[in-house]
Amino acid sequence: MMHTPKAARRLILIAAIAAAGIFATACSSDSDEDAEATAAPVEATATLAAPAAPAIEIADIRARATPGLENENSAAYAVITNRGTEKDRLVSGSVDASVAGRVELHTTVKEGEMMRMVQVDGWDIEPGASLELMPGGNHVMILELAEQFVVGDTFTLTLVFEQAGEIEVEVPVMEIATSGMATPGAMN
Amino acid sequence: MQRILRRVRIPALVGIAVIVVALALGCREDAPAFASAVVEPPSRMPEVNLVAGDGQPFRLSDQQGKVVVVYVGYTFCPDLCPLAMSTLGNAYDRLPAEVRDGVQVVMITADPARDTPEVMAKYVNYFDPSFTGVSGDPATVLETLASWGIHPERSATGANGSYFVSHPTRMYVFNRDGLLRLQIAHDLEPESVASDLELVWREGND
Ligand SMILES: [Cu+2]
Repeated sequence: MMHTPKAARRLILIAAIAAAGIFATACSSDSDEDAEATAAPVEATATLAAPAAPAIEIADIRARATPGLENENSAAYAVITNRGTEKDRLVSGSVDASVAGRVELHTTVKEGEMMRMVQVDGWDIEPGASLELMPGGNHVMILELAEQFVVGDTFTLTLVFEQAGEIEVEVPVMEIATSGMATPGAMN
Repeated sequence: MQRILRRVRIPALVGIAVIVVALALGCREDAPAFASAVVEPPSRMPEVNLVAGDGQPFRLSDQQGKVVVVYVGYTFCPDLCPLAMSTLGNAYDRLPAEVRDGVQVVMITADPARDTPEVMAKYVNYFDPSFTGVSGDPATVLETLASWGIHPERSATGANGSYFVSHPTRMYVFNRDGLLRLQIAHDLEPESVASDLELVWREGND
């Protein structure tokens, strides 16, 4: 039995990969409360060889380029998916002082013919669900920029989740036009 | 044989006549295919007599002969206002040159306490150098907006006295006679904004 035939070995390998896959899917949430979850944006296709994928997946993150006024703001958008088995919640964000003064979570509400931004204390993300932060809707506000955000810049944003803890992401600065605009108030 | 021909010919002629009339009527009805809310009949809005970014007086009535798009927002606004302004910039770029020369985009601040004419000039220039930023004495700006039924409200944020302001969801489009013709939803696609602006411009050219 020392020399397993090639075909059999291949079968065992496939079985092992499948098992690892099932294991990773079933147990993907438990290790994420540890420091391990400091992942860069993760692709939807988890690598089988890797340990359990982080429960929180952050995709399509970007921040708006700014005109370069005194004391200006920007907003960051992303699609945040909960790949785990427990509910999580985005509760806050932060950036280094060299980037901006503070970070808040905001939503846009329509009141009759008027619109306004309102600060919120977080958004729940159910297992398997995605939180969409998009222009005209929910967004991560970055206030009191130290310097103008120019297309091509990047900065580090730390997002804090109730379960997954702190996740650092590199955010590219882009020109953000209308595409993917939310209907204000639709998230409520 | 002749009867058959006649039978064929008469319905054919009637058919052609119907098609011609339908086309004529159809063309007339299809012409104003606006994506935006149409103001019918076009109405006059209270005068705006404020200050443009270059420090010169800005009067809405001085813009007659052009199609004027007015957006009311503020520069400390990081999400909706830049989105609306980039939509207008994008729509403006799509206009044929002759139409573009006859369209003026104007942003009036809803936050005159912070947005001086200079700040407005710098802000709108980021979206298109031809756009006009308008502010002025804060009390006068707010009175003007109130005369249009716009009442911006502040909401505080943070400890350093910074605040956000509520502002209208719609942009105002004035025809070449200076009358309010359309109200554009802030989330309309640039393609539709451009085609609406061109339609208003062509109305004045018929
Ligand atoms: Cu905001």
